[in-house]
Amino acid sequence: MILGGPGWTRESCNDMQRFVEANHLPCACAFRYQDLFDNRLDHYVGDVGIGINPVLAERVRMSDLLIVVGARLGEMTTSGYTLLEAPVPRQKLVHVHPGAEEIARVYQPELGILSDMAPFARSVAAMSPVENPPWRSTVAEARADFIAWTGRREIPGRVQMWDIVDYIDKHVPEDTIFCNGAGNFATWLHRFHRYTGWRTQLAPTSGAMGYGVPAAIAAKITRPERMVVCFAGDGDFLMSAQELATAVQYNAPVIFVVVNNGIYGTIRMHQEKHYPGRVVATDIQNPQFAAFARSFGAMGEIVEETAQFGPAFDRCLASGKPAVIEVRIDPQAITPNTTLDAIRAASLANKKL
Amino acid sequence: MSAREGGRILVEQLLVHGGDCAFTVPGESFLPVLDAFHDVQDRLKLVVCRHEAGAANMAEAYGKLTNRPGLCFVTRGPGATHASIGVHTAFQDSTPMILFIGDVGSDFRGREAFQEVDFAAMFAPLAKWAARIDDVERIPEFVARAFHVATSGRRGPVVLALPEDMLSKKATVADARQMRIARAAGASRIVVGAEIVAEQDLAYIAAAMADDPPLHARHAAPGPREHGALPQPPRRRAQPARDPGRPRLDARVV
Repeated sequence: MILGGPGWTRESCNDMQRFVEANHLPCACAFRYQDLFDNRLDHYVGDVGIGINPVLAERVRMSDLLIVVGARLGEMTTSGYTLLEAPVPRQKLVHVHPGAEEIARVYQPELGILSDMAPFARSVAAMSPVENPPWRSTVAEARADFIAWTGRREIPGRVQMWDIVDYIDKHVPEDTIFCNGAGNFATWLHRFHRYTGWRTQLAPTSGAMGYGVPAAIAAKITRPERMVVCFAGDGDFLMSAQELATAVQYNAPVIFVVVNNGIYGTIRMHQEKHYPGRVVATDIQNPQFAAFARSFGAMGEIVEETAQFGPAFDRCLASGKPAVIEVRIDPQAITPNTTLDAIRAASLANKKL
Repeated sequence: MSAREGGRILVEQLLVHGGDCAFTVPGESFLPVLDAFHDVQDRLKLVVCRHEAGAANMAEAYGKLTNRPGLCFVTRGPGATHASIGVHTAFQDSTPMILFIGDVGSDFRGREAFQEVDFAAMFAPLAKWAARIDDVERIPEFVARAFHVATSGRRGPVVLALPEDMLSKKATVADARQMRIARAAGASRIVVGAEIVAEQDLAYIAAAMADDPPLHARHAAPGPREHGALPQPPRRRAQPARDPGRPRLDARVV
């Protein structure tokens, strides 16, 4: 089961949860729709998007039946059109979507259902569940894969991003809205944070840099009673940092966590993969973000080691103002799995072959 | 019913359809709209941003958060090109949003007047629907359709260009009614007043699930593979029992 797309409500997400749990289905969410199913529940097995857990990708690829509800089966959700074969998938595909033009756009489903999310979710929630399904154990296995994939891992440098995400998760209300733009920095949030349910995530499936800052401000203005945390990269942040002025003007106390590694990290990663050692156009020089934030009348904090984060976060919360926490990380920590040096070395070794 | 300026007719349509917030970078091309906002600030919060990309992204995020169209007002060529990023994201993310663009007056159109762009052409591949309102009396019709297009089916962005002279014209027209959005209900027959999914479709899902022992019952559980080894596809199996005559591809409309 893969959930995604527009038009969900809290109620329809609850209905879908009832269907998933009653039938013991492993449930994943499409790229940047991770808030459609409470990540803390046993039936949630991860997100099917960029940087997918390879074990989960394998499960999707090898599955017999895929029920895709609301998600487009686009490039990001299909790992570049490889998890399913086009146009006739190996898996038995049930595709539910509110737009007729999306059903069979690439993949011919066994069953296409043109439906909005609410009526579909309400209908399947009322279905009699399959008794003792033989796939029942799959849920626990896939969940164990998810737990392992999202577990703590050590990265180079004095700042451990898993610990920072964990600190935030333990110190914010359950309905906090998490926003981000685009870049490798988003991985720390997407992979380590547990989204707690519908509309606790605002993120661009379009992969547009500069989205997180304005999205977070809009969220805080629209839902002032909720806490809003924005993760941004240094490059990502400066694409829309002028809106800090808007946050201050409208008294929208968002906490912006700027993960600063001094590079356009995603591009550098791909550069090292394809043209190892030939660094061009990916080094960037930044302002001192805390001072920059203070010049707008916002709070500004700098974190250079993990232990500084908690107190800095608490001071920002206490200030009641928009706040920027600049987290300086080692550029080697390019993903949770590998380093720039390791990517370069592997690429050079491959080229010698 | 008294005559109203185009800008006022437009803003009052936003209220009719439940608009409570709009994001903007002001431009002199849509002063009649701004003037109308002046009188409804208690009902419709106008958020002034520092860059049209910020305004459009905020409107997109509002749409994502509320399932109602995020409203954004920008000016002519420079404002619209800046705002286009938010429209693109709304398109890819299937988010309801309406971008209103102050446009050159009809008396200058086609001369490449100052900041003039053909917005319907510019946004054709970026928006679900892009159009220009030429007739002040048809503002209620266009805005109602914009709300419906943005929030029905696969949600997405709508772009409406507002010629300056159209906005400052006066007309005596009635407001639209609040738009009720038509929803695909997934039923294979028309069921008046009910939102259900056809029973045979649900039966199919149940049958498809029941028919499928998990793959790992037949194969080893997936694990790390040797580099280059391709996963074995599951064998194709007989179709599950289902309605005779059901076509293989069966997406239907109510």
